[in-house]
Amino acid sequence: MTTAELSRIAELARLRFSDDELVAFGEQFENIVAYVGAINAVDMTGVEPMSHVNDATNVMRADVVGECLTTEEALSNAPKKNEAFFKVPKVLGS
Amino acid sequence: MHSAYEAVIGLEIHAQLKTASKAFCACPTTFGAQPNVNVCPICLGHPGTLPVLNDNLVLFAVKMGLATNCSIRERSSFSRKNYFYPDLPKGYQISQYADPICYDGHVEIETNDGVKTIGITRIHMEEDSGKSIHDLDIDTLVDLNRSGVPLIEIVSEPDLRSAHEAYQYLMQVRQILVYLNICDGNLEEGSLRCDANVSIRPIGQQQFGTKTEVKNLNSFRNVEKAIAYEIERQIALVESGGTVRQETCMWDAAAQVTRVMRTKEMAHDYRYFPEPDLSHVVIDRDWLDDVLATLPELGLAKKRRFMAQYGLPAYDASILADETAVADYYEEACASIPDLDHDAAKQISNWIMTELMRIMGERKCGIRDTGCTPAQLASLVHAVTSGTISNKIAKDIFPELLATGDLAADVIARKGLTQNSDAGALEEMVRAVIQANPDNLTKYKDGKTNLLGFFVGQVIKASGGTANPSMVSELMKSALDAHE
Repeated sequence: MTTAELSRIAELARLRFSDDELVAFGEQFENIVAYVGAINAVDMTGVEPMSHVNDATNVMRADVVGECLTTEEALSNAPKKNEAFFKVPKVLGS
Repeated sequence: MHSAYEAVIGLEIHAQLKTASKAFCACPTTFGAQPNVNVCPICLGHPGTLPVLNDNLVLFAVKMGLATNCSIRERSSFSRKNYFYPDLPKGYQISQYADPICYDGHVEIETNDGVKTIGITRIHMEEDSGKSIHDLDIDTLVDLNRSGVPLIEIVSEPDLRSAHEAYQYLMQVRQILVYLNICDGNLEEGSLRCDANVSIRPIGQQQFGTKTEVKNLNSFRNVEKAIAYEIERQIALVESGGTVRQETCMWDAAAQVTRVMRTKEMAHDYRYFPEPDLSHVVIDRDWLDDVLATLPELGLAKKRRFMAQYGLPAYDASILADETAVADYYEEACASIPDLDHDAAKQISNWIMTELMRIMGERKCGIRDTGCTPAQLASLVHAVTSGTISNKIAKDIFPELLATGDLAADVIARKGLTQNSDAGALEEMVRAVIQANPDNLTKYKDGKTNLLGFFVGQVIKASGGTANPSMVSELMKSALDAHE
């Protein structure tokens, strides 16, 4: 794993690392990927990818309106807010 | 025109579904509510909450798939599309990725060159994000009412070849959504959103050129304008020796240009992975047959039937069939006319397209709120086609029909307006008018034959408007021409 690849992954996850940390994480990442890579040794011809451990299908709810939070409740954990909105640092563009 | 190039366009249309509650929680989907009132821990993305799929999201997506000739996937799943933006509280959007519920469909559009089939690559289910407001405060404000509102994304094949075709295709998709009653189809309010992928290539070349994505097409006219602008921009660029770069543009409606978007936030690496919190959706064949059986006749089919059944011109048929309420009204009026022929059917169409649509426009109301019922309109048209009154009288008494709610026959009887088609009586009036106007008679005989209109008008006036105008015209012409 190159430092560039690692920086890209960190950037996508909005994480910032020092150069030393990048090197350390690089080694750990490689170990993890190599460990998972052991699975490549198994012949998986004809095996469907499993995206669920649960066999249940069509778990749905009827389209009925239920209770919501009040605005005050909804905003109660927000670090920055006004009486109606969450506030975040200015985002430019859209 | 630049005949050396052709445009290749594909549209991605997001349609907000008219479900009562959100895609994965029970919050209402009401548009225009106070900020942050339709929210709960699930759509706020609080840790530890679990989404549960709204059954109508599946139903509506399948309806759209069937209405656009798609195959419906027997088993499909949800995935997480990961990106960071303040109006996406979970840090991912629940969407579908490799196995969209509908795929390989098409819709027909009617162009000047005939019917054209536009392929639909896929239709998938997903949730909307919240809304960021950048211009009300020093900070960006976030309203999460829209977070989790159900969407379907309809992705077309790159089968569109002009800005106008793209517009027609969008209108066709919109009409189907509205006919199915699954989306409001309102671009300005955002219940329908559209992005366009645009590229150009020399005519005859098979390979696609580099495409740009045009966003912010928030009105139907802007869709056509923005795409047309982007096509011209790319052609000018290539002709001056440049190359088109793959980028995302925003349509600036005020300046009427496309602008490249700042690409910093556009990571375009969404690291999709299966959504472990939602079970797979498996479509039962019998259920699918039931849904198919409930699909209404769609706009284009209705238009074609109106042309065949009522003998309407294509123009009339497409206007009447554009909205189900108008189409139903039209058919109800037609059904109220005994022995309906194509002439009467066309006259009903004329009344709807002129008088009723004028009232609908003025009052911003539906056709059932114009004050004229289908039975009243039928009675009025029948009175004309059966020769009881002239078209002129029909126009005159129309306001009284609206005001009283009476049928035309009652108004005609009350006002004594029955059309006079008695040849003897009409000849008498014709003679009297000629005698009273010797000067004009002389002029007519000297070649000013356009005075016929004057003479006919005098008879109609003398009759209080009841004289049958085509009979008067014939009688007057032969009387004048026979005069020595």
